[in-house]
Parts: sequence; C-alpha cells; structure tokens
Amino acid sequence: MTRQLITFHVGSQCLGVDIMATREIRAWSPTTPIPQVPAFVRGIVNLRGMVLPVIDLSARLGWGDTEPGARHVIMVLQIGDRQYGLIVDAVNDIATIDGAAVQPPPGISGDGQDELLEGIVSVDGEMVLILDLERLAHNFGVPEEVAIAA
Amino acid sequence: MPVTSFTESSFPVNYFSLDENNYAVFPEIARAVERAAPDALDRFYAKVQETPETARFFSSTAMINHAKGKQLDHWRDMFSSRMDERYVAKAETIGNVHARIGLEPTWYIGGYALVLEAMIGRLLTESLRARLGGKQIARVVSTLVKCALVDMDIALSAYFRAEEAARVAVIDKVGQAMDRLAQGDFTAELDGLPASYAKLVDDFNSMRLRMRDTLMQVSDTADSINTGASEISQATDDLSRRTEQQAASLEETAAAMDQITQAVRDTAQGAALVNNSVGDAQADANEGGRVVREAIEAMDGIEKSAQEIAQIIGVIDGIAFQTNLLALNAGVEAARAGDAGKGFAVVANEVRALAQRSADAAKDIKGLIGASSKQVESGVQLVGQTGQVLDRMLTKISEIAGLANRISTSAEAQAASMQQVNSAAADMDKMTQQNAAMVEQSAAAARNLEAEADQLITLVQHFRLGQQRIARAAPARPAQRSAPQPVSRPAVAGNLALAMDPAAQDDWTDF
Repeated sequence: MTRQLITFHVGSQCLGVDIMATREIRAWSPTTPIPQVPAFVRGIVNLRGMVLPVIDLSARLGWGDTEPGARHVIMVLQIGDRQYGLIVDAVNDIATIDGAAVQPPPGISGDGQDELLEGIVSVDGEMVLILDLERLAHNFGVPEEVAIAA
Repeated sequence: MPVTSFTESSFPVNYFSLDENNYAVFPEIARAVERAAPDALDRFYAKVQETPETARFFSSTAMINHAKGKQLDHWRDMFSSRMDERYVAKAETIGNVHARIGLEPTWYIGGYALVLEAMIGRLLTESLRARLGGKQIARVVSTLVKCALVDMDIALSAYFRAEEAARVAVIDKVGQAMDRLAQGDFTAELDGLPASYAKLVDDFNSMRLRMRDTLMQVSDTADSINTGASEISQATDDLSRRTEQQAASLEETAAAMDQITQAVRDTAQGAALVNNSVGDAQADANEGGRVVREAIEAMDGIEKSAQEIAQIIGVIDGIAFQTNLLALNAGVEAARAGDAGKGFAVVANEVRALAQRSADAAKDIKGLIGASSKQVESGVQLVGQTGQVLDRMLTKISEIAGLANRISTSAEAQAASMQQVNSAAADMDKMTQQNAAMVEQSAAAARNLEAEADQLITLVQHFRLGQQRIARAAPARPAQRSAPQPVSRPAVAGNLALAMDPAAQDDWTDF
C-alpha cells in the first residue's frame, strides 16, 4: 500500500510528514510572540482568520534555533484536532512511498526523543525521517484559550 | 849736459868786453878772493842753513863743506887765468847742475851778492891801493863785478837752456804718451820724467788707468749686453715658438668650443622637444585619467544595473518560490481528492516543475549577476588602479617635464656661456696674434741690440788695454770684472831724491 509524504529540509536533514496531515504550505510571515511558552514556540500567526501557533521544528527536534527569513516555509499541519505551523527551511517534494519500505526508528534514545519519528524511509537515495506528529505535538503546550480566542 | 860751442862773436866773455886792463887786475882780485871769499862763503852757507828753502839741499855738514870748497875753487879758478872756453864750460856746468837739482837762480845770485859784497868791502877797506885811491881800485872792483856778471851770465844761460831742454823732453814724453793714447794704446806709461813732474805723471797715469778701466767696463758691459741680447733673442725665439703653439691650441680650443656649443644647442633643442613630447604625454595621460574616471562611472552604472537585475531576479525567484508553494498546495489538495485529483496533481506537478525551472533559472542568473558583479568590482578596482597608475604617470610626467625644462634652460644657459667662452677664445686668439707680432718685434730689437753690442765690442777691441780681455767673448762667458791691473807708479820719495844722487854730489861745484 502506497502513501504520500511531503518531504522538506531542516538544516541538511530531509524530513517528511504524511500529506494528509498537511493543510497548507505557505511562506514565512512574522510571528507574534506569546508569553509563557516553550522556547521552540515562536509565536502565533493569523492564517486567514485562524490563529495558530508556530513551532520552530529545528528547535523542537533539538537541532538548534532557526532564524526564520522570507525563504523559510511554514507548513500548516493538522495534528489531532488542532492545526500547527512548523517552520522548515525548504519544502522538497510530494513523494509517493511504499509503506512497507518504512523502517522503524532505531530506538536508541533512553528518554524517548527518537519517538518523535514514525519511521525512516529512503526516497531517491536520500534518508527521509518521517515525523510522528502526535508525539511531536504532545508537549507543544499552547494554551487552549489562545486558539479559542484566535 | 851739452857744452855749448861758441863762435868768436857768440863767446859770452867777448860780449862783456873783457880786455887786458881787466886781466891785469886778476892777480889782485885773486888775492882778494883768498882773503875775503872764505869768510863770505862761511856767512853765506850759514845763511843757507838757516833758510829752509836752501837747507833742504844739504843733508850734512860735510856736504856743505864740500859745496863750500867747490865754490871757493870756482872763485879762485875764475881769476887764475884768462876767461877761456875751459872756464866757460865749467861755468856752464854749474848752471846745468843747478838746473838739474832745481836750485832757483835767486839763491845762486844771492850767494854771489854776498861774496861780492864781502870782497868789494875787503878790497876797498884793506887794499893798499884803496888807500892810494882812485883809478886803480875802481878798475879792480869793476873787473871783479864784470867777471862776476860774466860768470853769472854763463851759468844762468846754461841753467835756462838746461831747464828748457828738460821741459822740452818732458813735453816730448808727454806728447808721445798722448800719441799712444790717441792710437788707442792704453798700456802707454809716462815715466822717466823729473821728480818735479811726478804730479803730472800721476795724473796722466790715473787718467790713463781710469780710461782703461772705463773702456774695460765698456767692453764688459758690451759683452754682457751681447750675452743678454743673445739670451733675449733665444728667449724671444722660444716665446715665438710657444706663442705659435698657443695660437694653434687656441684655434683647436675654438673649434672644440664651436662643436661643444653646437652640441649644447642640439641638447637644448632636444630638451625642448622632450618638453613638448612630455606635454603631449601629459595631455594624453590627463585624457587617460578622464577615460578612467568615465570607465569607473560606467562600471558603477553596470553595478547599479546588475543590482537592479538582481532585485528583479529576486522578485522572479520570489514568484517562483510562491508558485512552487502554490503548486505544492495544489498537489496536497489533489492528493486529498484521491483518484479525482489525479489529473490535477499532474498539472500541479507540471506547475511545480516550471516553478522549479524558474527558480533554477533565477538562481543561475543570480549567480551570473553575482559573478558579473564581482568582475565589475574587479574591473572597477583595476580601472581605479589604472587611474592611480595614470596619476603616478602624470606626476612622473610632470617631473620629467620639469626636468626637461630645466635641461632646456640650463642647456640654453650653457650655450650662452659657451658663446662667451667662444668670444673669450677669439679675444685670446687676437691677443696671441698681437703677442706674436710683438715677439717678432722683440726678436728684431734683440738682434739689433746684439749687432750694436758686437759693433761696440769691435770698437773697444781697437784699444790696447794691456790685457787680453777684448777678444770677442763667447756669449755664455761669465762676466769677468777683473780689478784694474796694479800700476807701477814711479817711486817718488821726495823732491830731493835726485839731488841725493852721488854723481850730483860730485858735480856740485858751487853757487
């Protein structure tokens, strides 16, 4: 059974998310910072009337903060019943993969950091880390009322 | 001393008319002589000794006694017989002796006066006949006086003849010496003159020696002049030769100076040309500087255009980026639509591909623009360096222009100086020619002088100066100014030298 991924880059690493979780791909626009949030939450943006939190994916993955610019891309993802914007460096492609080709993460992290990955797949000879969005977002900790108020 | 020979008429005794009456009283007179003469002679010689003028003739009493005896003999002799030629000769001898020793007649006559005075006194006072008186004594006295006068006349006549003969002899000798002098013989000495002419001899000899010395000096001087003239002549010849060499050197100098002047003029012209060329180069360099500035401005324009292009490319890139995002969104939507969205997904993919190509093209252009920008930047830098080089060249050219100008100026100044040197050399040439003419005149004058000196030497050679010094001397002969030869003056001890002659003593008879 095949499935489609949106592949993108953070730093030099290629990552991928399921295309069905993708709501929109848009260019970076400045965010409004909000207080009392983890450092990887850059702030909020208004996306056609809907306010959504913007996550610095690189920071969330523990790879260092991103200094976003005009060429950075915000990928709007539907995670659970909420939408989040993830800052990535560049969107690559829409890749169609064989689900069987997805390999599980190595599971070497004692504190379960690697659990942010759903699996690893090779696309055109490049290693693509498929993000497990549910786990990724479990600690985003964005107050509910923000989303409501937006 | 010649003894005069007499004729009958010239015999002096005859003139006095001495007759038998006179001779008759001779014995009486002879007796009177014996009685009176010795005393009278004593008194006379006492007087002689008192009187300095006469005392000098006698150096001793013996001489006086001798003379006294001789005179007494003469008186005796006078009246011993008739006055014949023997007697006359004897009387003349007395006169000659007086003349020889320079005894003046005054003293002689004075002596006779004393003797006569004594004898006449004696005859008149003591004679028997005197007392008898009258005629007889008168005849005796008159005969005595007459005979005394005859005697005096004979002696004085002899005296004056001897005197005149001596004078004539002196005049002859002086004349001969003068004649030799006149002939140019300055060795002629005046000697053999009586002692009374010693002053004349001295004066003559000193005159002769002075003249001889003067002529020798003239000869020496002529020699010196000759030598000097010959040296001057030689020096003048040297000077003439050197002056000619100098003139030749000056000519060469003038020619060389002409060449140098021409060269300096050429240099000045060359420097002026360099100056002009440098001016052109300066103008060109200025033009180059202007071009460089324009090039830099053009480069700046290119840079600006490139930046604008880059901005446009940025816009295009942004559009491609946005288009890519849109196509991705379309692809996402198509994927959501499932099978119904498959065709749309293809279109979206195509759009994505186009966007990607646009982005790639924009990226390429951006790269090219960047490269172009860098090249333009490098070009600007190079042109800037070119400008700087041109500026430096301008500075150098200015310096060169200054130097060329200075070269030109100094070359002109040198040319002017050379001109002055040229005219100085010409002046020197003229002066050298004048010098040469003067040297020629000097040489001629020196030759003339030499000839005149030769002539002078020839003239002086006509004189006999008693030394072989008038021969034509070699020019280099050192001037020998020898002292005049010592002159053998006649040794004159005094007027009495001749009187001391023993012969004179023998001949001395009486006064």
